Amino acid sequence: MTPTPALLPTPALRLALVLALGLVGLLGMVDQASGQPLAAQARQDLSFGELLGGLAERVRPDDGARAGQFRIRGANRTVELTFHLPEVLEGPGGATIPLRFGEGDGHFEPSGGDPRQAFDPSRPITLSLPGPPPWHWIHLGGTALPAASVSLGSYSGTVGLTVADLAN
Amino acid sequence: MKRVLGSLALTAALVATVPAAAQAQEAASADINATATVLANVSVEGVNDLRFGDILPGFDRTVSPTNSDAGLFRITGAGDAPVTLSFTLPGTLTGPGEPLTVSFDEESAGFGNMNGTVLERFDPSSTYTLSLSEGGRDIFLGGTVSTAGDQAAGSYTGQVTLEVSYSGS
Repeated sequence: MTPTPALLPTPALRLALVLALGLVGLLGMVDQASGQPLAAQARQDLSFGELLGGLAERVRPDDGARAGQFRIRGANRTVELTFHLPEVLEGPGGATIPLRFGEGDGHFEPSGGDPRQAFDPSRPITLSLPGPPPWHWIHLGGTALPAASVSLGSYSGTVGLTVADLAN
Repeated sequence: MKRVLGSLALTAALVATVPAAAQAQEAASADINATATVLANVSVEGVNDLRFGDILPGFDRTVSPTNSDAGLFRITGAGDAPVTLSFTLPGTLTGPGEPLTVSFDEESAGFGNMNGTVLERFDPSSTYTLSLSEGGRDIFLGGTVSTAGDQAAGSYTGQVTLEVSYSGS
């Protein structure tokens, strides 16, 4: 059977395909060579401290002693941060303390001393990570809203952070 | 035929590689804890009045915070939480004659555990911060009252208020 001529790449098209394939391979090599893998590390818990019933307590993201802290590694990348925020802290006997996170409760502190960038941790945020050094800081504040009749004792919850590379 | 197979293989490789590059996505995650401790509300109770007792006209009388006539407040709250004390002190005692002058100095007040013993003295005229001990403290208050030579006989009284709040968080 004779192949249909239309299915055969012309020499020019073959050259283009070869160049395109080579370019894809080259891009892959550059991406792998640009730095270490994306990483996220927990550095400090978010601590609301000692609360009294009926009195809300806000921790600001620039509170170095009490704000939650993560650091993420990545250089010259665009990433999306997604927080998994607890709606309540859980305490003795199933008691809970509602939490609130909103605009300005998150801070992105890029490496290299650039100004902090405030964001709302309750929504995904897209960030451009600058070049080396590769470690950048994420600071998390929030507000605890204990009811007047809240039970005494210790309360806790888990805050998760996922960083995804938005590949080009 | 050889040329055709070679070209098809090249095309297949390109199709397989481009989507893989576009979909390559790297992710990382980490967790921290969010924590809080709910404290018992702090409270204060007046237990004993500050009693200057019987005084002759023209004489003064000083009551030490370690004296059994000293005033006593009892504070209860959370563990060893720090609290701030703020007294509202009378300048005089009022009664049937001219008011009696009352004064307080840097050692007129004292605090202790809830066992009646003064551990340390302080000035009740200024705010003062201390830590609770096992959820409580006793606060003692003394002072000095002065009478005039022609002071009218009778009973004189005044009110002392102690306000307590948690300090810091």
